[in-house]
Amino acid sequence: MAGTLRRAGLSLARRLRAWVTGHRAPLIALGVPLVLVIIATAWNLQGWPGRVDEDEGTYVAEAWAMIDPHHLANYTYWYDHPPLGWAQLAGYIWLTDGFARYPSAVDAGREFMLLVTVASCVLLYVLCRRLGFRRTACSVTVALFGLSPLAVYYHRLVSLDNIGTLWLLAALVAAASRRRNLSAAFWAGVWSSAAVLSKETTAILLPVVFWVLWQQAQPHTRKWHLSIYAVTFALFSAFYPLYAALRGELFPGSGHVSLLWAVWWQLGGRQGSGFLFTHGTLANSLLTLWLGTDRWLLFAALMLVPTGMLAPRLRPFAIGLLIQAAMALTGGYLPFFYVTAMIPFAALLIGGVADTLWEPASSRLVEAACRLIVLAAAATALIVVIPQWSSALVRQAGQNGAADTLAATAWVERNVPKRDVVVVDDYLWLDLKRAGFNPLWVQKANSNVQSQGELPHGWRSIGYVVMSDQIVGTLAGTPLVQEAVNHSVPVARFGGGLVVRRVVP
Amino acid sequence: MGKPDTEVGDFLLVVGEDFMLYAIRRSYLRARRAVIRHRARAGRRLAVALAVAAAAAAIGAAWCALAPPLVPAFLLIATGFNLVIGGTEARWRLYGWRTPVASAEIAWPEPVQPGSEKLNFDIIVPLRDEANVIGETLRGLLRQTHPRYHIVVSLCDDDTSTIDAVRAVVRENLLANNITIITDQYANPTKAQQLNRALEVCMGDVVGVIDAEDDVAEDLLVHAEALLSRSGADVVQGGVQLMNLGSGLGKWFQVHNVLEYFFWFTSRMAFHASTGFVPLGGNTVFVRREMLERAGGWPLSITEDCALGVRLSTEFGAKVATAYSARLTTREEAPPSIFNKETGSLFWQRDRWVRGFIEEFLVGRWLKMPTVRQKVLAGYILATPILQAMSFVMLPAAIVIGLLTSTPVGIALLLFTPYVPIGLTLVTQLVGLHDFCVKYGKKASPWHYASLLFLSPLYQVVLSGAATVAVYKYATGDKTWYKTGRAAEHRGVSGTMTTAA
Repeated sequence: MAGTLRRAGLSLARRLRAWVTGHRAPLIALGVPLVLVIIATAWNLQGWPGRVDEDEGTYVAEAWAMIDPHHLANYTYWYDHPPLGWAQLAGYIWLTDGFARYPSAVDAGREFMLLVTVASCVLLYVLCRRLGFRRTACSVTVALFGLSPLAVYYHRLVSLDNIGTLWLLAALVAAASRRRNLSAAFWAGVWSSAAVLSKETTAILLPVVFWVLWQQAQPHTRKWHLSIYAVTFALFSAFYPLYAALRGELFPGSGHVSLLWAVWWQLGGRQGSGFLFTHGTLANSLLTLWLGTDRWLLFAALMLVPTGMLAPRLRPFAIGLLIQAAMALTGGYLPFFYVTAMIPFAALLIGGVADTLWEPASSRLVEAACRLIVLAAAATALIVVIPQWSSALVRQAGQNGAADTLAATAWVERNVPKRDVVVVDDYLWLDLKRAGFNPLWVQKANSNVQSQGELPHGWRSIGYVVMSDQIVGTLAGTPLVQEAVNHSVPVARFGGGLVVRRVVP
Repeated sequence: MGKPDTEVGDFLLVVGEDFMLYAIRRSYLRARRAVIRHRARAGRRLAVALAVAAAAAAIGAAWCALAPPLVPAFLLIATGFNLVIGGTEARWRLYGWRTPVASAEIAWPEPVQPGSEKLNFDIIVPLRDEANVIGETLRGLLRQTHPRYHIVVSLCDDDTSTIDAVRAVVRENLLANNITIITDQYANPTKAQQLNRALEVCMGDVVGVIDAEDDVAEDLLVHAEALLSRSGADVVQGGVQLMNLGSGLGKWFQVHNVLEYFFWFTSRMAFHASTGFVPLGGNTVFVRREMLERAGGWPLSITEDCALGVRLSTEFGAKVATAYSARLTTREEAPPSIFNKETGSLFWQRDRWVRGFIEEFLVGRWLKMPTVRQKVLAGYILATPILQAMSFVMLPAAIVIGLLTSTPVGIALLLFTPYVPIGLTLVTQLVGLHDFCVKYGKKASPWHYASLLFLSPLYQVVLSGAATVAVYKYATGDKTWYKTGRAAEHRGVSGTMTTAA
């Protein structure tokens, strides 16, 4: 028995070794940047960025809602986003018992984001190969995608955009299949649907998938590929409105939420973020954040869009980047995570232009000139960009952005009676809930909740409010909490603007 | 017998030898048929057992549907079943388009060079009441570019109008002298009997079948020889295509029928060939004579074509090659009506086909396929018409039961998953119609597309109805069938085969 096992093990090892030997070049080309990306993303994964956007907490809390009380969301699910994104998060956390590993639930979510980033890197590498990039160009693309401080920042945050982008890359990989199999069109449709049902804003990039599919298909089978792709995408995506219809929540009506109202609100009902370049607007502050974190990746990619338009294989991606830039300029609502889906396009465009310039040309002179440009750009990057990125990484490694929230949570758990209603932002909500407390998400402290019976005596039912920057920003929209805060005294202060206030009726 | 100095005595001797040979071959064929019937019996017992098991399962499923606690189980089983049926249909109908090389693979090879043709072809044309179409068909066949072929027309002796029509063509072509007329008296004529009768006089290397109303490409035989010799196949099945899309509301079903053929011959047939199990089509089939005779000619079935394919695949390990190129496709007409037996009926034609498939399924020859995978695929292929009819009923049934019994939303969503392959099938219909029009130079109106999109359920009602009638007839031992009549609509619409070039 042991002998058989050992023989089987040996044969497996031998086969593995043969496989590794046979795939040495791709393994190195992907492995080196991938290891760097893993280090960059995982190093102080929980400590930086700090608690910068409570949506992180929201998605993890909704994942918990699926695992524990078996709902799509903790409060009424109102079709704010399709639930597939946090369903995947929930699946991972449930399978690995992720909540048990960390002091704060958000940390388990960030761990999943690390996996998503690794998977996205692999997909991006395969996509570049399928577009005909040299291995070095693929490695550079993956490195840009994962090492830019902007990428590190957003890849670490728990967001649906990371998951949606992963599936978008999968759809692009399928669409760029060189065997031109019809099933590639089918899978491109399935992954596109997964992308949109994970994060609905990915839909604006589907023309890129369609275009790549168009380019790859041969003229006499093109109509088959495109129609199979479109119909597969439509059929799988239709399950979301079908779900709403089965629950009687497709059309707006009194007394219930509805998908169509939510779509209307997301598209037009929401207050815009202002013009991107007007000082003082929300959009402008986001732009400042993005460019302050890393100006090189986005700048370089946008500069290269005209060059990218000249190479047919890069054209869809250049347009993809342009679409996203244009959408940001419309002045509509600009989500905090918006830039996430731009990162792979920017990286691919830079790597792709470099690869295209490296192509052998008919004239020796032109070829030498082009290659000289690439080498010069690479040298500049080595001298200017890499030191900036590395020092940013080292600087971030020393920070512990989660400490204040953890301390506040611990204080509440020690000092607040379990049945008291504690108004919190979504970073604290799940940790308190799981510890058996009675937290109330500040966004839900309105008349709606009152009618549900959580606040029978209005603001007087609130015991404590844990003030954070996020809550200060939403007070105007939640008069109940405002009232409670007006009748409260601070009882504990923590860094990062966190103050625990006890309501004194 | 072509020596110029042959004397009369020699000539008689040769004729006598021919006659002896003919009598020997006739008795050989009969003996082979008897042996093969005997072989089938063991399989039949097993098949009856299987049928009983299937009936038990069906009763079990019905019971599940009635007993409330088992409703979710029934719903899930029905959904899984519908997913498999819909998924295989969508997948197999795209087999010919799955990769750019796939459509090149299924195309006919280059024809043999003029002058290097080696095989002798016998083309059997079985006829019954075809006076209106046969003249043009025969004249078309006589234009074959292959130098060595012989046409054997098989007739019933009481069918005088058709006999006269054939004779007229023979008289026009006395010099060519390559049409043989075989007439015989049949108590209850079937295509299989007429084919077997004609086979008795075939002397060539390869026997082909062409139907009375077929428009055949002039260079089909040179291509068939190329495929036979290049692939080493025993059987070659070429493409057949219905041509009349139908105009007017009454002909709404024809476009559906046309596309069934389109996908069957561009994809399904090639897929069947890849599994090694091919229920053959009724014409544009070429079989090496030696193999056909070993099999005892055509089985005496109401769908002799399917039965022959099954028999050759399972018992004689025949290698079947299929080929499809629009230009070389044999063109036929879709039945002009749904129920009218005289002018030609889609419903009763389908009833006959389904009964043929049921019979082949129950006889159980498919169980002789070598591997488990091939057995499963072969059985599934034969059962497909029945399974699709069942699925057509279960699709709405599952949803209605699901919605009436307050099923959880998650399971309710699952109930809709079979509509994904169905939606994909529907879009392949639309793209297929466009592709058909491009390849055959036809024009489809928006109404044809609308018919495909909106009347598909109605077409399925017709097919499922025919399948139900077929099951009933088979179970009650009703052997009556109706020959599909011809109105030659495809010629009125598409012109003659000269447009094939």
